[in-house]
Amino acid sequence: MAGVIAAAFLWSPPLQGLGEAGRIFYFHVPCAWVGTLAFLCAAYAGLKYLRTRDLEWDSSGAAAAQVGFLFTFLATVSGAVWAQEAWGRWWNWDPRQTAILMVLLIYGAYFALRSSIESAERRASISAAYSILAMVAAIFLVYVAPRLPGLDTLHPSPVLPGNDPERGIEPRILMVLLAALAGFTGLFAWMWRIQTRVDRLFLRREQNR
Amino acid sequence: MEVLRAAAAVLRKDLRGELRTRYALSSILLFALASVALVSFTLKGEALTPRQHAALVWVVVFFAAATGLARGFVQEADAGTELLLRQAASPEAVWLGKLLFNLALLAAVEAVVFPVYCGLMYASVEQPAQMAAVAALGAVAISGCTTILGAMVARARSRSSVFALTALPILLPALLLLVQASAPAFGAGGPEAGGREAALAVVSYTGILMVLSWLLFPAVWEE
Repeated sequence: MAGVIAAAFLWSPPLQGLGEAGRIFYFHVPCAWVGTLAFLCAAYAGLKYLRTRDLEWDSSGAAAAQVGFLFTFLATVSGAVWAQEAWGRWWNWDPRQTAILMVLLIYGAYFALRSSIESAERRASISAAYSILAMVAAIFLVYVAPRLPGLDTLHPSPVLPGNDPERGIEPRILMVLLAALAGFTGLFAWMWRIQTRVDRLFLRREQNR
Repeated sequence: MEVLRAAAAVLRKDLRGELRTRYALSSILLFALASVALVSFTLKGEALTPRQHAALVWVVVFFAAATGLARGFVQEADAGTELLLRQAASPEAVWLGKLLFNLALLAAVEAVVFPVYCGLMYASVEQPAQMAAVAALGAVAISGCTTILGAMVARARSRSSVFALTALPILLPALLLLVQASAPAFGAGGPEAGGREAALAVVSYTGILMVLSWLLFPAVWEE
């Protein structure tokens, strides 16, 4: 992670047309990626819970959602900062901005639902079902809605190597981005494990009472 | 077949209960009419584009649905009849029956809201048949996506606010598409309107969510 941060600031050339502010790219994109990945993890834990009825999977899903909320929030804020730099406005209802706001709302609804149900088993099965349903909506909002015809987005379409043979993508930029993605994913896995262990300790304490 | 018969029985029971009290229908309908009146009063007959009309009318329908569609399950929880219903019918039949009941409610509400909206807002409907088709599709989409949520929030505290909160993100993709699908019927032209594609996307999104609800409902409903 430290290497990624150093490389993002020192090694990578400035992004074309974005200048030094474009370096936020190396944090904004991985945060958004982790934000959606975390929700997939929460839905996966929900599925596991419905299969096994083991409350530890429920705390694991809740932990993924908690960490994911943090990353989605960071992606929203870093996106707004970048939007102010690049487009001159903090917020302009770009389809992707709308989508990430809705992902935040989904997380919010998930937490509200969890906190409003008293019994642990009911809370677990209901929030597991909701996380699976909401995952479909989140995937749709993040990956399908911005690509619908008739919606103009200022976000670049996904840049992959070989996607655009003429301009291409500078190999150093790609390397730093991939390293940042890997680093953030690792960071997420680490935070998820810690949060899961904390939640499980609380669960055990409640069960032992 | 067994499931269908049981679902029809659940639907009949709910319809009979609703006809006796008219609680859900009157609350949703009054809410919808009040918001249409509010919109028309605050805008004072300003000329809106077809897309703005489409957006407003679906926002009204969404919030009206959010106030009343959890009723089917909440009332079972309040009256303490959940256990009996769980004994009497399979989870799939309960889900389907409640879905049909919500669909009937929404269809009744839309049948009033759309004409009243168009009348009060001087919105000219260029293609009435297309409008009716999109409205019917919308009723199916909204009831299909939210029926399982009703069963979820029936177990929760402060149900109505949690229902609106959880329904918004789930319904949002469908609503965005419905607005796009109904804009041409209000007279939005041009090749970029894309009403047909949007309607097809609503169908597929609703289909995915209904299949998932069907699979997930037993986990939510059973003890």
